[in-house]
Amino acid sequence: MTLFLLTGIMILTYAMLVCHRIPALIQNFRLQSLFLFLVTLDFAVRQKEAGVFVVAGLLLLVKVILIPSFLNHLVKKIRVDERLGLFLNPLLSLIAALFLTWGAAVFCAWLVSDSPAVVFAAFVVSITVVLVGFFIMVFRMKALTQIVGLLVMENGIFLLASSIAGGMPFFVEIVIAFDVFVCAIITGIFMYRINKVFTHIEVHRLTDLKG
Amino acid sequence: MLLFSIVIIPVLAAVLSALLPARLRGMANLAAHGVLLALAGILAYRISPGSGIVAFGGVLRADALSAFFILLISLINLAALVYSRPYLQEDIDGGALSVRQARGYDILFNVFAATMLLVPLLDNLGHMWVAVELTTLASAFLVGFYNTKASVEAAWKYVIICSVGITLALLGTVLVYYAVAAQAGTKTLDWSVIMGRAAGLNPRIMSVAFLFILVGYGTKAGLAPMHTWLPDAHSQALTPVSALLSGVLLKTSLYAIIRFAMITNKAMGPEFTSRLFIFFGLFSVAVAGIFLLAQKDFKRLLAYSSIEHVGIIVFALGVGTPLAVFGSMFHALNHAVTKSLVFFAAGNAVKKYKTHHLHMIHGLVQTLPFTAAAALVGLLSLVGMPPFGIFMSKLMILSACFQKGLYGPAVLLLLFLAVVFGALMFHLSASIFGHKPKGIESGGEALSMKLVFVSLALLLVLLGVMMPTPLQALLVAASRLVTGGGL
Amino acid sequence: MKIPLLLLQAGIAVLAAPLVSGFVRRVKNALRMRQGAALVQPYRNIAKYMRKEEVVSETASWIFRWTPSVVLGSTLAALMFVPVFSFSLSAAGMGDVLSLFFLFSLGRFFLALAGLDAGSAFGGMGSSREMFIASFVEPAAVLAVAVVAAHSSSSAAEPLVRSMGMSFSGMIAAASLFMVVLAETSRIPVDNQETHLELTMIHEAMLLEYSGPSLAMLETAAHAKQLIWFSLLGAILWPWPIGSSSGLSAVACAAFFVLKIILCAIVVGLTEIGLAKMRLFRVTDFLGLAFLFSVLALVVSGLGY
Repeated sequence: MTLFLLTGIMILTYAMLVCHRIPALIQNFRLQSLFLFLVTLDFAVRQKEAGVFVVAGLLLLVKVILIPSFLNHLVKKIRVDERLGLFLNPLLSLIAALFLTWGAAVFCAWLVSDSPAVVFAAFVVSITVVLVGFFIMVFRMKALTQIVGLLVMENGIFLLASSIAGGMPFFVEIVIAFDVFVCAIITGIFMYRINKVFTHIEVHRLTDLKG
Repeated sequence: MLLFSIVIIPVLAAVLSALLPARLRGMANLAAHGVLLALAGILAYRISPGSGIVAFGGVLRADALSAFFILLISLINLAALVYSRPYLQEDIDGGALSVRQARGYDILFNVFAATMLLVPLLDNLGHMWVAVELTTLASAFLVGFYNTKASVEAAWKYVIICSVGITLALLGTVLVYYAVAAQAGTKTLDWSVIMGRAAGLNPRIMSVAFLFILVGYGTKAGLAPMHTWLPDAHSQALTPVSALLSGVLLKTSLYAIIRFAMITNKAMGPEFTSRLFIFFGLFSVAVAGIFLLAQKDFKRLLAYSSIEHVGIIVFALGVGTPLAVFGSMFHALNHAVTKSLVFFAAGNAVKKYKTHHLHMIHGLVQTLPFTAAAALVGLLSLVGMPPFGIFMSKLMILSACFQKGLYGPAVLLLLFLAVVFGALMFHLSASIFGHKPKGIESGGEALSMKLVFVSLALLLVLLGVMMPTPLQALLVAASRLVTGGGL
Repeated sequence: MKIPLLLLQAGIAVLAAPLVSGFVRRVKNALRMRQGAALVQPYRNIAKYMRKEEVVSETASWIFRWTPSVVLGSTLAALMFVPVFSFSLSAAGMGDVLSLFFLFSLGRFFLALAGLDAGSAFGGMGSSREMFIASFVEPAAVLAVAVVAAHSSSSAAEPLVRSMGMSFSGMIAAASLFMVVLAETSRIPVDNQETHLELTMIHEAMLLEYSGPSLAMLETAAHAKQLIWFSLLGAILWPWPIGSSSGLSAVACAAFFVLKIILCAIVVGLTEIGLAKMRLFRVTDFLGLAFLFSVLALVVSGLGY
């Protein structure tokens, strides 16, 4: 079951790279978070720990409902061009992502050499998600995609935490989830300001400061 | 109770700043940060080497290392607070800021202080991560405070680059957690517990985890090549905030790295972290030296100098002997004091000449005598002249390096430091001396600013000439903690 | 002994295949809050075509006339190589999963020729598009199956499927196959079965010149092909209880089979509702993704997971 969910996350992560428009990317992020929630829920059911259920619920609330809605709201409000401004076309991005996954797989095979397939898969998928998040931040040069990329990276780490280590201690998870939410809000506010000051949100055109 | 009050006082000050009128607000903040410094002093004095103070059910924990960082943070906080009052007042009079924004500044300043003070006090590595991330988020608004194109751009880069770095640090934290869970079956992120069991952790996972930690928190600490946000943020932030960023924010991230390095050293021996520290340290100093040579912007110059000094501190951690670690802590303190002094002077100069460009700032001695004196003292200290503190700490670090037989790195470090020396002297002496341009009047330094300059300069000399015994005891205890051995 | 049973199984499958298409359509309509056509509508269509007169273009050659039989025949043969209820020809040592792909290619080859043969512009366009897509689909599908085969060190369908279990590489290969299935059954986002819009249609464009019983044969073949893909996907994702080791009666096996097909149909219907039709030149992104997943599965299986 976990394997199935992990594969789902993998597909969604790759699908993010073929997105051409901002709403599609946000929707994809929402779905990915939903799968993350399901992984945590699956774990909670098997562990029968009340704390994990709470954490799963919090993930659902913050990552599936609040943050994507906030981002959508923001996109509507600033009314920018919806295209993502790809620096690398989808097929090349996919090939790059494949190499990232390959690297992650080789790396994880070295790191956790004698562990069951689920642990290996969790490692590979999480590292891939982190790397692809980073990739999105670098090769999709809009302020909003950088926020989404950051959130995707964080999703990857949450995935790692909940699928291999069985979730971090209760209060840590709660505090981190809160922190992610605050981070999304604050970066959102800055994006709003960028749009106000520069009248666009294309990060590669922010080049006033150099040296 | 002591630890709890250190955390709660800045929070209370933030609340008060939101409620009180301007005059009372200034007094309240001053009182709060004065009390904080006193409390930090008491904590540093009371802490016994070897054991820690625990509060709040184990959530808060302080040992000699955290006590030192608390002292550092609260000292620079107080200086920045005193300096920022006349600084902001000038902006308000000049129409650059509104009264409402000044209130916002006070609130954010206190929130920022609270998050920074929280970092060394949290025992749980996950909580510590959150606190470091919160320092970014709280200070982002202070960097983008003027809401101009440049400052918004700087704030954006700051938030995004640091958040990515911090996210990698979280990955490292999760890996440490995994290693602990895999080894002992205990699910914990409490540093004190992990430290007790560090000996048996899987070295492979720990090495990867530490790499992520070093790159992650290293981004925030300003290590090259992850330093790209730093000059932008430092140059665009309000000057007192620049001093805070450079003086203490970078050090809170270093604190986090040190905590993880202690675990990693115990799990896999000191060679691994040592090599990484020396590499990143030297690389940072080299990169900073190159950029310093070609720098034209006053505050960016100082920002690159911060990268250089962080590099020296990390290098010293890499050398790893008790003397070197002692020197590295001492250097952190010296650098914080010096850099605040120079940043404050730079802030005055930039305001007077209304430009950041070094070639347009000339003759500070004639226009702003106190500022010029402060800049000169700071400059001499920065490049490592006696009788200031940095001379002492650099001396300690280098002699530790030679003692350990690391001749190659030591020579390289000296070489890079010579480049930095030349660059800083060349750029700043022209600004301090030289002829003042026409149309710029002399004077305009508030009394409290002069007070800050004088006391920081005196502190620098004091640190260089004779270190106070309690401070020495604290540093000895802290470095003993880090190296895990005697001194 | 086995051969008559096999024929019986194939016959039932062909007869039931249009039902699957009808079911997917019901799922989609239910999600769209529409009344929609009845479950048996595909049967009604086929029956209607059977009654109609057939018209053949004057320029058409024998290829045009023979194609429906070739396509239907190759699809029926392919049906015998996949484990449907409980067993297949490959168990009798007569071929493996790769022969499945050859049979599909044969049908596709003739269909594309027939599209060109009739001499209408749409047919040629459909053929060219079909081959364009096939050039992406086939490597992905073959590679995905090869990964699964490598895992079971046999390319015969049943041991292949039985040894799959739940491995990570198999999961990724299944993800790739799922995308292939969407393309092969002419579904959104690659093609759209529900419209005959000139600019977008692919499969329908090749059939445009056909009428009467020939059209009925081609449609039946398309339904059967869809069933084959669904059952292959179902078998790889959830192999149980194919094969004799489970000790279940044939009826129970059939029941499980139906359950799997229903699940597959629902997922496909959901996917179709959730996605939009892609422009032809963006289909490469989609199928490129499928191919990449196959490669990825290969990499992961190479690491032993």
